Amino acid sequence: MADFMCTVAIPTRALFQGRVYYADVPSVEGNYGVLPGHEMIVATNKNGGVLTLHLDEAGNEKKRFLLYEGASQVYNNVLSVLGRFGRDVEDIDVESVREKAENMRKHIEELESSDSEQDRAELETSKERLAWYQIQIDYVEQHS
Amino acid sequence: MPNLHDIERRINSVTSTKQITRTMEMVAAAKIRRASQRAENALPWAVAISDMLVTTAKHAPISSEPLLQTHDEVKRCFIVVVTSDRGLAGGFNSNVLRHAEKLIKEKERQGIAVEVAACGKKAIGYFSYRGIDPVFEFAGLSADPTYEEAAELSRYSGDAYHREEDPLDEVYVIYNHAKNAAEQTLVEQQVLPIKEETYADLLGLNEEVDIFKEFRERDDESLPGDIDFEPGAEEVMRYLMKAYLRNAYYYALLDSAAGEQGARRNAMKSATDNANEMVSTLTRVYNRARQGAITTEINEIVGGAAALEE
Repeated sequence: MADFMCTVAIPTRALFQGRVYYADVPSVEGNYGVLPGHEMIVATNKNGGVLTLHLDEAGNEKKRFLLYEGASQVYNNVLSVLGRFGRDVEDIDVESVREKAENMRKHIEELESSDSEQDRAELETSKERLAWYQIQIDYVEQHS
Repeated sequence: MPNLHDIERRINSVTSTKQITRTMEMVAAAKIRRASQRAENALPWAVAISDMLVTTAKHAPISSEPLLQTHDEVKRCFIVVVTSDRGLAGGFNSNVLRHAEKLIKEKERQGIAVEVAACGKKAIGYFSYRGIDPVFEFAGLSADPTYEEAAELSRYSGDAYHREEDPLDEVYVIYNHAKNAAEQTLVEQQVLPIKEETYADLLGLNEEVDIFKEFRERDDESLPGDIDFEPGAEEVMRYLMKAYLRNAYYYALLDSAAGEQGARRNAMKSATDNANEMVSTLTRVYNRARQGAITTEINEIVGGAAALEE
Protein backbone atom coordinates (compact mmCIF):
# COMPACT_ATOMS: atom_id res chain seq x y z
CA MET A 1 0.00 0.00 0.00
CA ALA A 2 1.30 3.45 -0.87
CA ASP A 3 1.87 6.16 1.67
CA PHE A 4 1.47 9.94 1.55
CA MET A 5 2.95 13.06 3.12
CA CYS A 6 1.39 14.43 6.30
CA THR A 7 2.04 17.54 8.41
CA VAL A 8 0.46 18.16 11.80
CA ALA A 9 1.21 21.59 13.24
CA ILE A 10 0.16 24.16 15.82
CA PRO A 11 1.09 27.85 15.41
CA THR A 12 4.32 27.56 17.36
CA ARG A 13 5.70 24.27 16.02
CA ALA A 14 5.18 21.15 13.92
CA LEU A 15 3.91 18.15 15.91
CA PHE A 16 4.53 15.66 13.11
CA GLN A 17 6.00 15.76 9.62
CA GLY A 18 6.45 12.55 7.67
CA ARG A 19 4.84 9.84 5.58
CA VAL A 20 1.79 7.91 6.76
CA TYR A 21 -0.32 5.06 5.36
CA TYR A 22 -3.68 6.08 6.74
CA ALA A 23 -5.10 8.99 8.72
CA ASP A 24 -8.34 9.40 10.62
CA VAL A 25 -9.08 13.14 10.70
CA PRO A 26 -11.61 14.71 13.12
CA SER A 27 -13.63 17.14 11.03
CA VAL A 28 -16.45 19.23 12.47
CA GLU A 29 -18.96 17.04 10.59
CA GLY A 30 -17.46 13.76 11.72
CA ASN A 31 -14.19 11.90 11.18
CA TYR A 32 -12.96 11.14 7.69
CA GLY A 33 -10.34 8.58 6.73
CA VAL A 34 -7.54 9.45 4.35
CA LEU A 35 -5.77 6.94 2.12
CA PRO A 36 -3.45 7.79 -0.80
CA GLY A 37 -5.38 9.42 -3.62
CA HIS A 38 -8.09 10.81 -1.35
CA GLU A 39 -10.31 13.47 -2.91
CA MET A 40 -9.45 17.10 -2.21
CA ILE A 41 -11.03 18.49 0.91
CA VAL A 42 -10.66 21.45 3.28
CA ALA A 43 -12.43 21.05 6.63
CA THR A 44 -12.48 22.72 10.00
CA ASN A 45 -11.59 20.49 12.93
CA LYS A 46 -13.82 19.24 15.68
CA ASN A 47 -12.83 20.74 19.05
CA GLY A 48 -11.32 17.97 21.11
CA GLY A 49 -11.12 15.59 18.16
CA VAL A 50 -8.39 12.96 17.94
CA LEU A 51 -6.29 12.64 14.81
CA THR A 52 -4.92 9.12 14.28
CA LEU A 53 -2.00 8.43 11.95
CA HIS A 54 -0.92 4.97 10.86
CA LEU A 55 2.83 4.97 10.47
CA ASP A 56 3.07 1.45 9.07
CA GLU A 57 1.02 -0.48 6.57
CA ALA A 58 -0.53 -2.87 9.07
CA GLY A 59 -1.55 -0.05 11.42
CA ASN A 60 0.47 -1.42 14.33
CA GLU A 61 2.42 1.75 14.84
CA LYS A 62 0.10 4.70 15.41
CA LYS A 63 0.30 8.27 16.57
CA ARG A 64 -2.65 10.09 18.11
CA PHE A 65 -2.99 13.84 18.49
CA LEU A 66 -5.63 15.65 20.48
CA LEU A 67 -6.66 18.87 18.71
CA TYR A 68 -8.48 22.07 19.55
CA GLU A 69 -9.90 24.18 16.72
CA GLY A 70 -7.95 24.34 13.45
CA ALA A 71 -8.47 22.95 9.98
CA SER A 72 -7.33 20.11 7.75
CA GLN A 73 -6.67 19.83 4.06
CA VAL A 74 -6.05 16.99 1.63
CA TYR A 75 -4.65 18.38 -1.58
CA ASN A 76 -2.83 16.42 -4.25
CA ASN A 77 -2.00 13.59 -1.89
CA VAL A 78 -0.66 15.80 0.90
CA LEU A 79 -2.51 15.95 4.23
CA SER A 80 -2.12 19.01 6.46
CA VAL A 81 -3.79 19.10 9.85
CA LEU A 82 -3.55 22.30 11.87
CA GLY A 83 -4.74 22.95 15.39
CA ARG A 84 -5.00 26.10 17.49
CA PHE A 85 -3.77 23.81 20.25
CA GLY A 86 -2.66 20.23 19.88
CA ARG A 87 -0.69 17.53 21.63
CA ASP A 88 0.41 13.94 21.22
CA VAL A 89 -1.93 12.07 23.58
CA GLU A 90 1.06 10.18 25.02
CA ASP A 91 2.52 13.49 26.26
CA ILE A 92 -0.48 14.63 28.32
CA ASP A 93 0.54 15.09 31.95
CA VAL A 94 -2.90 15.30 33.50
CA GLU A 95 -1.76 16.53 36.93
CA SER A 96 0.14 19.42 35.42
CA VAL A 97 -2.83 20.22 33.14
CA ARG A 98 -5.21 20.20 36.13
CA GLU A 99 -2.98 22.64 37.97
CA LYS A 100 -2.80 24.92 34.94
CA ALA A 101 -6.58 24.76 34.53
CA GLU A 102 -7.06 25.76 38.16
CA ASN A 103 -4.74 28.75 37.78
CA MET A 104 -6.49 29.72 34.56
CA ARG A 105 -9.90 29.65 36.27
CA LYS A 106 -8.64 32.08 38.90
CA HIS A 107 -7.16 34.30 36.20
CA ILE A 108 -10.47 34.29 34.31
CA GLU A 109 -12.34 35.33 37.45
CA GLU A 110 -10.01 38.31 37.80
CA LEU A 111 -10.45 39.26 34.15
CA GLU A 112 -14.23 39.05 34.27
CA SER A 113 -14.44 42.01 36.61
CA SER A 114 -12.46 44.24 34.24
CA ASP A 115 -13.93 46.23 31.38
CA SER A 116 -10.81 47.24 29.45
CA GLU A 117 -10.57 46.14 25.81
CA GLN A 118 -7.29 44.34 26.49
CA ASP A 119 -8.71 42.37 29.42
CA ARG A 120 -11.79 41.44 27.39
CA ALA A 121 -9.57 40.10 24.59
CA GLU A 122 -7.39 38.27 27.14
CA LEU A 123 -10.52 36.83 28.75
CA GLU A 124 -11.58 35.25 25.46
CA THR A 125 -8.14 33.74 24.77
CA SER A 126 -7.94 32.54 28.39
CA LYS A 127 -11.33 30.84 28.02
CA GLU A 128 -10.05 29.07 24.91
CA ARG A 129 -7.00 27.90 26.79
CA LEU A 130 -9.13 26.68 29.70
CA ALA A 131 -11.34 24.78 27.25
CA TRP A 132 -8.20 23.16 25.83
CA TYR A 133 -7.05 22.10 29.33
CA GLN A 134 -10.50 20.67 30.00
CA ILE A 135 -10.41 18.70 26.74
CA GLN A 136 -7.11 17.13 27.77
CA ILE A 137 -8.42 16.26 31.23
CA ASP A 138 -11.60 14.75 29.76
CA TYR A 139 -9.59 12.70 27.28
CA VAL A 140 -7.36 11.22 29.97
CA GLU A 141 -10.36 10.49 32.23
CA GLN A 142 -12.21 8.74 29.41
CA HIS A 143 -9.20 6.64 28.42
CA SER A 144 -7.85 5.68 31.84
CA MET B 1 47.24 67.06 31.79
CA PRO B 2 45.81 64.09 33.75
CA ASN B 3 48.31 62.22 35.89
CA LEU B 4 49.27 58.55 35.46
CA HIS B 5 46.87 57.39 38.14
CA ASP B 6 43.90 59.12 36.45
CA ILE B 7 44.73 57.59 33.07
CA GLU B 8 45.13 54.15 34.61
CA ARG B 9 41.77 54.47 36.33
CA ARG B 10 40.14 55.46 33.03
CA ILE B 11 41.71 52.52 31.20
CA ASN B 12 40.36 50.16 33.86
CA SER B 13 36.92 51.73 33.62
CA VAL B 14 36.78 51.48 29.81
CA THR B 15 38.08 47.89 29.96
CA SER B 16 35.32 46.81 32.33
CA THR B 17 32.71 48.57 30.15
CA LYS B 18 34.16 46.70 27.20
CA GLN B 19 33.75 43.40 29.01
CA ILE B 20 30.07 44.18 29.59
CA THR B 21 29.40 45.22 25.97
CA ARG B 22 31.28 42.17 24.68
CA THR B 23 29.19 39.88 26.90
CA MET B 24 25.98 41.59 25.76
CA GLU B 25 27.09 41.16 22.16
CA MET B 26 27.58 37.42 22.68
CA VAL B 27 24.26 37.06 24.53
CA ALA B 28 22.46 38.89 21.70
CA ALA B 29 24.15 36.63 19.12
CA ALA B 30 22.91 33.54 21.00
CA LYS B 31 19.42 35.03 21.23
CA ILE B 32 19.34 35.67 17.46
CA ARG B 33 19.69 31.94 16.94
CA ARG B 34 16.85 31.27 19.38
CA ALA B 35 14.64 33.89 17.74
CA SER B 36 15.37 32.52 14.25
CA GLN B 37 14.60 29.02 15.50
CA ARG B 38 11.27 30.20 16.86
CA ALA B 39 10.38 31.77 13.51
CA GLU B 40 11.44 28.58 11.74
CA ASN B 41 9.29 26.47 14.07
CA ALA B 42 6.27 28.61 13.23
CA LEU B 43 6.75 28.12 9.50
CA PRO B 44 4.96 24.73 8.95
CA TRP B 45 1.73 26.12 10.37
CA ALA B 46 2.07 29.42 8.48
CA VAL B 47 2.80 27.68 5.18
CA ALA B 48 -0.06 25.20 5.60
CA ILE B 49 -2.60 27.86 6.54
CA SER B 50 -1.65 29.95 3.51
CA ASP B 51 -1.92 26.82 1.34
CA MET B 52 -5.44 26.24 2.65
CA LEU B 53 -6.36 29.87 2.14
CA VAL B 54 -5.17 29.82 -1.47
CA THR B 55 -7.02 26.52 -2.11
CA THR B 56 -10.23 27.88 -0.65
CA ALA B 57 -9.97 31.21 -2.43
CA LYS B 58 -9.31 29.50 -5.77
CA HIS B 59 -12.01 26.85 -5.60
CA ALA B 60 -14.70 28.79 -3.79
CA PRO B 61 -14.13 32.53 -4.21
CA ILE B 62 -16.11 34.23 -1.49
CA SER B 63 -16.30 37.97 -1.71
CA SER B 64 -18.68 38.31 1.24
CA GLU B 65 -16.03 37.51 3.89
CA PRO B 66 -16.07 40.58 6.20
CA LEU B 67 -12.29 40.76 6.62
CA LEU B 68 -11.87 41.10 2.84
CA GLN B 69 -14.26 44.04 2.56
CA THR B 70 -12.82 47.52 2.16
CA HIS B 71 -14.91 50.11 3.98
CA ASP B 72 -16.16 53.02 1.86
CA GLU B 73 -15.06 55.62 4.35
CA VAL B 74 -12.13 55.49 6.77
CA LYS B 75 -13.09 56.97 10.13
CA ARG B 76 -11.20 54.81 12.59
CA CYS B 77 -7.76 53.26 12.42
CA PHE B 78 -5.85 50.86 14.68
CA ILE B 79 -2.06 50.99 14.72
CA VAL B 80 -0.02 48.22 16.37
CA VAL B 81 3.48 49.43 17.23
CA VAL B 82 6.05 46.73 17.97
CA THR B 83 9.21 47.76 19.86
CA SER B 84 11.49 46.12 22.42
CA ASP B 85 11.34 46.11 26.20
CA ARG B 86 14.95 47.10 26.65
CA GLY B 87 17.20 49.67 25.02
CA LEU B 88 20.87 49.44 24.05
CA ALA B 89 19.84 48.44 20.55
CA GLY B 90 20.86 51.48 18.52
CA GLY B 91 18.07 53.06 16.50
CA PHE B 92 15.85 49.95 16.66
CA ASN B 93 13.05 51.53 18.71
CA SER B 94 13.40 55.17 17.68
CA ASN B 95 12.91 54.28 13.99
CA VAL B 96 9.63 52.48 14.71
CA LEU B 97 8.36 55.11 17.14
CA ARG B 98 9.19 58.05 14.87
CA HIS B 99 7.41 56.35 11.98
CA ALA B 100 4.40 55.50 14.16
CA GLU B 101 4.09 59.09 15.37
CA LYS B 102 4.26 60.33 11.78
CA LEU B 103 1.51 57.92 10.72
CA ILE B 104 -0.68 58.84 13.70
CA LYS B 105 -0.34 62.57 12.90
CA GLU B 106 -1.06 61.95 9.22
CA LYS B 107 -4.22 59.97 10.02
CA GLU B 108 -5.38 62.56 12.52
CA ARG B 109 -4.86 65.32 9.94
CA GLN B 110 -7.20 63.35 7.65
CA GLY B 111 -9.79 63.39 10.44
CA ILE B 112 -9.35 59.69 11.26
CA ALA B 113 -9.58 58.62 14.91
CA VAL B 114 -6.52 56.54 15.83
CA GLU B 115 -6.24 53.74 18.39
CA VAL B 116 -2.82 52.42 19.31
CA ALA B 117 -1.51 49.09 20.61
CA ALA B 118 1.91 49.35 22.25
CA CYS B 119 3.98 46.16 22.21
CA GLY B 120 7.17 46.58 24.23
CA LYS B 121 8.04 48.82 27.19
CA LYS B 122 9.73 51.36 24.92
CA ALA B 123 6.48 51.97 23.02
CA ILE B 124 4.45 52.14 26.24
CA GLY B 125 6.84 54.75 27.69
CA TYR B 126 6.92 56.74 24.46
CA PHE B 127 3.13 56.96 24.12
CA SER B 128 2.41 57.62 27.78
CA TYR B 129 4.95 60.51 27.73
CA ARG B 130 3.01 62.00 24.79
CA GLY B 131 -0.36 61.59 26.48
CA ILE B 132 -1.53 58.79 24.17
CA ASP B 133 -3.37 56.02 25.99
CA PRO B 134 -2.86 52.69 24.14
CA VAL B 135 -5.84 50.31 23.92
CA PHE B 136 -3.41 47.39 24.33
CA GLU B 137 -0.13 47.31 26.24
CA PHE B 138 2.21 44.31 26.19
CA ALA B 139 5.31 44.50 28.37
CA GLY B 140 8.01 41.91 29.04
CA LEU B 141 7.29 39.84 25.93
CA SER B 142 9.37 41.52 23.22
CA ALA B 143 12.20 38.96 23.35
CA ASP B 144 9.84 35.98 23.73
CA PRO B 145 6.57 36.86 22.00
CA THR B 146 3.64 34.54 22.60
CA TYR B 147 0.90 33.44 20.25
CA GLU B 148 -1.63 34.61 22.86
CA GLU B 149 -0.42 38.19 22.38
CA ALA B 150 -1.18 37.88 18.66
CA ALA B 151 -4.50 36.16 19.36
CA GLU B 152 -5.64 39.03 21.59
CA LEU B 153 -4.71 41.69 19.02
CA SER B 154 -6.38 39.65 16.31
CA ARG B 155 -9.56 39.10 18.29
CA TYR B 156 -9.94 42.79 19.05
CA SER B 157 -9.15 44.06 15.55
CA GLY B 158 -11.11 41.29 13.77
CA ASP B 159 -14.24 41.86 15.87
CA ALA B 160 -13.95 45.65 15.69
CA TYR B 161 -13.46 45.57 11.92
CA HIS B 162 -16.87 44.10 11.17
CA ARG B 163 -18.94 45.43 14.06
CA GLU B 164 -21.96 47.55 13.08
CA GLU B 165 -21.31 50.51 15.32
CA ASP B 166 -18.16 52.58 14.97
CA PRO B 167 -16.04 49.89 13.31
CA LEU B 168 -12.31 49.95 12.66
CA ASP B 169 -11.68 50.72 8.99
CA GLU B 170 -7.96 50.14 8.71
CA VAL B 171 -5.39 48.22 10.77
CA TYR B 172 -1.64 48.70 10.51
CA VAL B 173 1.29 47.05 12.19
CA ILE B 174 4.67 48.80 12.37
CA TYR B 175 7.74 46.75 13.24
CA ASN B 176 11.35 46.06 12.35
CA HIS B 177 11.83 43.19 9.91
CA ALA B 178 15.02 41.16 10.52
CA LYS B 179 16.35 41.18 6.97
CA ASN B 180 19.37 39.22 8.17
CA ALA B 181 21.31 38.90 11.42
CA ALA B 182 22.93 42.31 10.91
CA GLU B 183 20.25 44.35 9.16
CA GLN B 184 16.74 45.42 10.06
CA THR B 185 14.26 47.22 7.86
CA LEU B 186 11.23 49.17 8.98
CA VAL B 187 7.90 47.67 7.88
CA GLU B 188 4.51 49.37 7.83
CA GLN B 189 2.06 46.64 6.95
CA GLN B 190 -1.64 47.10 6.35
CA VAL B 191 -3.23 44.10 8.03
CA LEU B 192 -6.88 45.01 7.42
CA PRO B 193 -8.47 45.17 4.94
CA ILE B 194 -6.46 42.17 3.72
CA LYS B 195 -4.55 42.92 0.54
CA GLU B 196 -3.87 40.25 -2.07
CA GLU B 197 -0.11 40.61 -2.00
CA THR B 198 0.08 40.67 1.79
CA TYR B 199 0.77 36.95 2.21
CA ALA B 200 4.01 37.08 0.29
CA ASP B 201 5.16 39.99 2.48
CA LEU B 202 3.89 38.27 5.59
CA LEU B 203 6.00 35.20 5.10
CA GLY B 204 9.01 37.29 4.08
CA LEU B 205 8.93 35.81 0.60
CA ASN B 206 10.73 37.27 -2.33
CA GLU B 207 11.21 36.23 -5.92
CA GLU B 208 14.07 33.82 -5.19
CA VAL B 209 12.19 31.87 -2.52
CA ASP B 210 8.60 31.29 -3.59
CA ILE B 211 6.87 28.64 -1.50
CA PHE B 212 3.69 28.95 -3.57
CA LYS B 213 5.48 27.91 -6.78
CA GLU B 214 5.17 24.20 -6.11
CA PHE B 215 1.64 24.69 -4.94
CA ARG B 216 0.65 26.53 -8.12
CA GLU B 217 2.25 23.87 -10.27
CA ARG B 218 0.40 21.15 -8.39
CA ASP B 219 -2.79 23.16 -8.65
CA ASP B 220 -2.68 23.15 -12.45
CA GLU B 221 -3.31 19.40 -12.38
CA SER B 222 -6.57 19.72 -10.49
CA LEU B 223 -9.95 20.83 -11.69
CA PRO B 224 -11.47 23.95 -10.16
CA GLY B 225 -14.52 23.25 -8.08
CA ASP B 226 -13.54 19.61 -7.59
CA ILE B 227 -13.11 19.96 -3.85
CA ASP B 228 -15.16 19.41 -0.71
CA PHE B 229 -15.53 21.91 2.12
CA GLU B 230 -16.68 20.90 5.58
CA PRO B 231 -18.94 22.30 6.93
CA GLY B 232 -19.03 24.76 3.98
CA ALA B 233 -16.73 27.01 1.99
CA GLU B 234 -17.94 30.12 3.80
CA GLU B 235 -17.29 28.72 7.29
CA VAL B 236 -13.88 27.38 6.23
CA MET B 237 -12.95 30.75 4.75
CA ARG B 238 -14.04 32.56 7.92
CA TYR B 239 -11.84 30.33 10.07
CA LEU B 240 -8.86 30.65 7.72
CA MET B 241 -9.17 34.44 7.65
CA LYS B 242 -9.12 34.58 11.43
CA ALA B 243 -6.09 32.32 11.50
CA TYR B 244 -4.43 34.46 8.85
CA LEU B 245 -4.96 37.60 10.93
CA ARG B 246 -3.48 35.99 14.04
CA ASN B 247 -0.57 34.81 12.00
CA ALA B 248 0.06 38.30 10.62
CA TYR B 249 0.48 39.64 14.15
CA TYR B 250 2.47 36.64 15.34
CA TYR B 251 4.88 36.91 12.43
CA ALA B 252 5.41 40.64 13.12
CA LEU B 253 6.16 39.90 16.78
CA LEU B 254 8.57 37.06 15.94
CA ASP B 255 10.30 39.08 13.26
CA SER B 256 10.72 42.06 15.55
CA ALA B 257 12.14 39.83 18.31
CA ALA B 258 14.81 38.52 15.92
CA GLY B 259 15.52 42.06 14.70
CA GLU B 260 15.86 43.34 18.26
CA GLN B 261 18.64 40.90 19.04
CA GLY B 262 20.37 41.70 15.74
CA ALA B 263 20.20 45.42 16.45
CA ARG B 264 21.50 44.91 19.99
CA ARG B 265 24.39 42.80 18.76
CA ASN B 266 25.33 45.50 16.24
CA ALA B 267 25.10 48.24 18.87
CA MET B 268 27.18 46.25 21.35
CA LYS B 269 29.74 45.37 18.71
CA SER B 270 30.17 49.07 17.91
CA ALA B 271 30.46 49.84 21.62
CA THR B 272 33.10 47.10 22.05
CA ASP B 273 35.05 48.39 19.02
CA ASN B 274 34.92 51.94 20.37
CA ALA B 275 36.06 50.76 23.80
CA ASN B 276 38.98 48.90 22.21
CA GLU B 277 39.98 52.02 20.33
CA MET B 278 39.69 54.13 23.46
CA VAL B 279 41.77 51.68 25.51
CA SER B 280 44.56 51.74 22.90
CA THR B 281 44.48 55.59 22.75
CA LEU B 282 44.54 55.85 26.53
CA THR B 283 47.37 53.29 26.74
CA ARG B 284 49.38 55.43 24.31
CA VAL B 285 48.70 58.55 26.39
CA TYR B 286 49.59 56.62 29.55
CA ASN B 287 52.89 55.38 28.08
CA ARG B 288 53.74 58.85 26.82
CA ALA B 289 53.04 60.36 30.24
CA ARG B 290 55.00 57.59 31.95
CA GLN B 291 57.94 58.09 29.56
CA GLY B 292 57.77 61.84 30.20
CA ALA B 293 57.88 61.28 33.95
CA ILE B 294 60.87 58.94 33.63
CA THR B 295 62.69 61.41 31.37
CA THR B 296 62.04 64.21 33.85
CA GLU B 297 63.30 62.01 36.67
CA ILE B 298 66.53 61.09 34.76
CA ASN B 299 67.06 64.74 33.90
CA GLU B 300 66.70 65.64 37.55
CA ILE B 301 69.19 62.91 38.60
CA VAL B 302 71.69 63.89 35.90
CA GLY B 303 71.27 67.57 36.78
CA GLY B 304 71.71 66.80 40.48
CA ALA B 305 74.86 64.72 39.82
CA ALA B 306 76.33 67.47 37.62
CA ALA B 307 75.68 70.03 40.32
CA LEU B 308 77.46 67.84 42.87
CA GLU B 309 80.48 67.41 40.55
CA GLU B 310 80.77 71.15 40.15
